[in-house]
Amino acid sequence: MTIQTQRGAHAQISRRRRSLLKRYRSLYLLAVIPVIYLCVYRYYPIIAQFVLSFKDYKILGGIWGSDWVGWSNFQELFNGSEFSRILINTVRISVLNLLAGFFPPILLAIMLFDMRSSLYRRISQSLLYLPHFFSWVVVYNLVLALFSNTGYINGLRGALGLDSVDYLMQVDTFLPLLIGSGLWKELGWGTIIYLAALTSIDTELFDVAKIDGAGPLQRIWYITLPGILPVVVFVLTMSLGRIFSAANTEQILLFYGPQNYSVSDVIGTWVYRQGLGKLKYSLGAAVDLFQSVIGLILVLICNKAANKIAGVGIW
Amino acid sequence: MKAMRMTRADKVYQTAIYLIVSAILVTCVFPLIYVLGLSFTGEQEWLARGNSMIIPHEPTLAGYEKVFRQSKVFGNSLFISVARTLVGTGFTLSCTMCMGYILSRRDMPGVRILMFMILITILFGGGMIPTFLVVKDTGLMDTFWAMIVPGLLDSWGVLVFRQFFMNLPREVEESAYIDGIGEIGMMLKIVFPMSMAVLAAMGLFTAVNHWNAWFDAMIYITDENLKPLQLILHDLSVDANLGYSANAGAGSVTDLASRVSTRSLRMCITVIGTVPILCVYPFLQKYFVKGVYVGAVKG
Repeated sequence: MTIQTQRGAHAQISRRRRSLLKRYRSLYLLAVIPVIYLCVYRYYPIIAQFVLSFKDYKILGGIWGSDWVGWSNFQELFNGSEFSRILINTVRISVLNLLAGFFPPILLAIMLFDMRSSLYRRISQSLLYLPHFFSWVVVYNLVLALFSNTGYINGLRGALGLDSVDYLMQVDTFLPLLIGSGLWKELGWGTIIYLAALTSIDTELFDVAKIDGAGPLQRIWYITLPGILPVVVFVLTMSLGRIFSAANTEQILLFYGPQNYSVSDVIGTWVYRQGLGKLKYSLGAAVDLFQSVIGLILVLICNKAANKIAGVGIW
Repeated sequence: MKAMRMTRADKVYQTAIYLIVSAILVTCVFPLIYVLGLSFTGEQEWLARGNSMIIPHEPTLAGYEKVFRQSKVFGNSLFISVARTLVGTGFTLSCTMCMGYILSRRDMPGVRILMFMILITILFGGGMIPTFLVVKDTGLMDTFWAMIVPGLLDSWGVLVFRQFFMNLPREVEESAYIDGIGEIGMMLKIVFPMSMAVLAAMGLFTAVNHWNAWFDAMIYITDENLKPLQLILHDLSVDANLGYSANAGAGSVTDLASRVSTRSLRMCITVIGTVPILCVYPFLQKYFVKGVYVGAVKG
């Protein structure tokens, strides 16, 4: 290629670019508000979190005027007596949530799919998806109505002559109530992704298998499960990426109390109390940073793994 | 499949499925019916019959009457909830949709930078405290806008819209270009009218999220007159729980009476808090079973 034509090509590209810029003028204007929003409310907090984590926040100085203190926030955190507790609780609750969110929806989806009556299936689906759309406050009130001191279960216990038990105040009933209510809320919703995958299985396979004498469990094992395997693998790998972040702060803030901090206090709730309650902004930001960095690394690894193993990733 | 004869194993399997799914359905629905029943139960009847009752013998609207008549806080919070749902959905939806449209113009110079900016927000957030400080510094504390502005753009929604716009048939757009339509005209007159289904779906999901939200209001709002319904319910529930521990074993008559009345208040507000969800639910269901696969993944 001669220098002359190269120049010509460059000129052509920049001409085209200029005409595109002109054509999309109005869209650039339209993007201004979202971009300002992103910078102020999404990116600035990320930067502020980094900065705060290495400073000793004072109200007078604000984020930028306070003194740099190096790693001392992290030292205070890691040496503190509560850190191992909230770390263990976070992972424990996350893992339990992920387990409850993994196996039951797969089983339920298979059962719904195999139901003979499509009317009963549709009615079941309608009712099962519903709790997903209730707020945690509403769900907590349902739990209160059933399990509190004056709730339904204790009414039954009273009728049987048993002492009432305050399930919401006890340490050993906290985890079952928390995980159970999460399961109640999300079980039906969790089946959607599998049911969507199941509809793409060729139904003739089932008929043929039946003629060959395959029983219902064999059909599940050899046709249904392989049909949803990519989705199962995808959900599983993405779940692994959340073993540090699947404890729902909003939910726990409702369910927990000082009497069961030993099993209920997680990173999110601790940040809420220390940061917004006791105004220890720097310490709170440092824990948050710690959690989101580890969370980010896990998600990136697992997304890569999901792409490799299942052929599907989020991006 | 129906035409074929069922083997014995099939019959056992089908029976097992129906039993298990029915049991799950009962677990799913029972709390709702119980609380609905409680909300129509008078305090006298509740005290007399104990709490293992399910259907009230003498249903009464006394609880609801009390909520609507006596409680000024409640009426206010209902108004705030409705307002934030309408205003918040309007703002979030229009911003999210425009951003989705912009990102779907793949030959627009710089569009990849914008796309990258959106993806970052999905992967990494600023956390509770820095976000709180920004809301405070931008003067939104204790204003209605604290519940609207921080969630102005739904990053997942942007991606859903973008995907949908990119899959629209190119021919229509090309013929509109030949007619000399501008980019804004293209967006408003050609692309958006073809996207009513996804618009409705996203709108409903956004509205449900706004109606259910309370955590942001708990952090940003202290003014009683600005608290949404779910936050009022939260305050009442937390008080109820504290009440138990504070007078464990005491159980004086006045305590009991006040506890009974906050209980019926809570049950009524719980029901009121779910009614709008139940109203839009049939429409919601139409959308999520079909298309919003991404929505299912995102949880």
